[in-house]
Amino acid sequence: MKKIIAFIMAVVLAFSAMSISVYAEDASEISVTVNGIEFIFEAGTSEEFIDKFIGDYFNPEDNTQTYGITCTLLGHDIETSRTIVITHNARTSAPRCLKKYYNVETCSRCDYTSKTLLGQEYIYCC
Amino acid sequence: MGNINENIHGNQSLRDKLSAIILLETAKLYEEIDCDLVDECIDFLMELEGRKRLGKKEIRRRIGKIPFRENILKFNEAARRKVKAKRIAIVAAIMAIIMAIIGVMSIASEDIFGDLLAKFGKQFVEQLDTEAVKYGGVVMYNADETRDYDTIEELLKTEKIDMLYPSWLPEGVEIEFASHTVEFEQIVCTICCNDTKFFITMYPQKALNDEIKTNLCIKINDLEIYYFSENGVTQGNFVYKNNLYSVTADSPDNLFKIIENLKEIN
Repeated sequence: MKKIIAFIMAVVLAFSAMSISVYAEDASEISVTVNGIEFIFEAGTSEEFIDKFIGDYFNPEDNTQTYGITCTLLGHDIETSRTIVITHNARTSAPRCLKKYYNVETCSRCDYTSKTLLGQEYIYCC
Repeated sequence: MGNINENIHGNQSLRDKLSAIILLETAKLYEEIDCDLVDECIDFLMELEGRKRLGKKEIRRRIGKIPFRENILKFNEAARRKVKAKRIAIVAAIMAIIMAIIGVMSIASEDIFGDLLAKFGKQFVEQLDTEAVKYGGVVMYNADETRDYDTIEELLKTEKIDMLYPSWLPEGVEIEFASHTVEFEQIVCTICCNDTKFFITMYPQKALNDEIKTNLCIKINDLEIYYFSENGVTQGNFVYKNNLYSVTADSPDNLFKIIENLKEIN
């Protein structure tokens, strides 16, 4: 019996290692360029989040957010991530591109999104 | 008369054989005993002796009367626990296999169930991580987790980040946040303040571009600082120990003072 359990555990470990390596291969930042502005999201960021953030970035006033009943009762289920926004050729001389670092909070249950500027710098890029 | 004796003698020999089988079998290790064989032999032996087998209640009553030094029920309990633990281990192993297979399949196919599993895993890890010590002060962020430290020195030391940090900042400005992230294979370390006009980044093993050297230059602590001011923000770029630094402040004076007071973790 002990040998069987040891064998099973070895198989499980092998599977887990495979899962991690498959995931690791896929773990790379996501870059989206809209209207000349580049958005860099952390690896594994959902498409829904990307759409929500970019939409909110271009139309900050149009942020009608639906509040689910669960969030009304229990509060938001906040997920935090870092997003970088690069405005290329923002200056005429080097360094030309403006890089802004945002801390973004989103609720996994409803439309709530909140972004906070952490800092900005001009980088040599273009 | 001869037949009766032969029968008795034959029965005796059979009883002896059965007794021997029972003795030999019960002398084996607990896991190796063939209980069915022992059971069958006892039944047969009792039938030969013209006796009836005892019921469970009767057996318990009789065991209770035996003056054991230790309670025999304890042994039964231990054996039962062992069997139970084995069953739990088997169930856990089967569940782990199923989870691993589903994990591999869902990652490969990028389906919704994979997301669900990932969320579950994240929640689980977060639950486990709740024991992390919270100090308040400066927050360290990287792609995997967030940790709180009392001071920037403690953060840089603990996280083993070899980066210059400001020992002076204008009144009311405080370091809130530091991060160590990877952007398309380039490590980027940042120090953020409560005022977003003050910001420090470090790109390890990166050189200063010649075009940036066309900006104004000032020498501070033997470092050549290339700086410019635009829209109320002043930024200085320099290289220290093959690492490219970019320091942002609200004015040239404050920028120079911050750079002058940059310190290194020993």
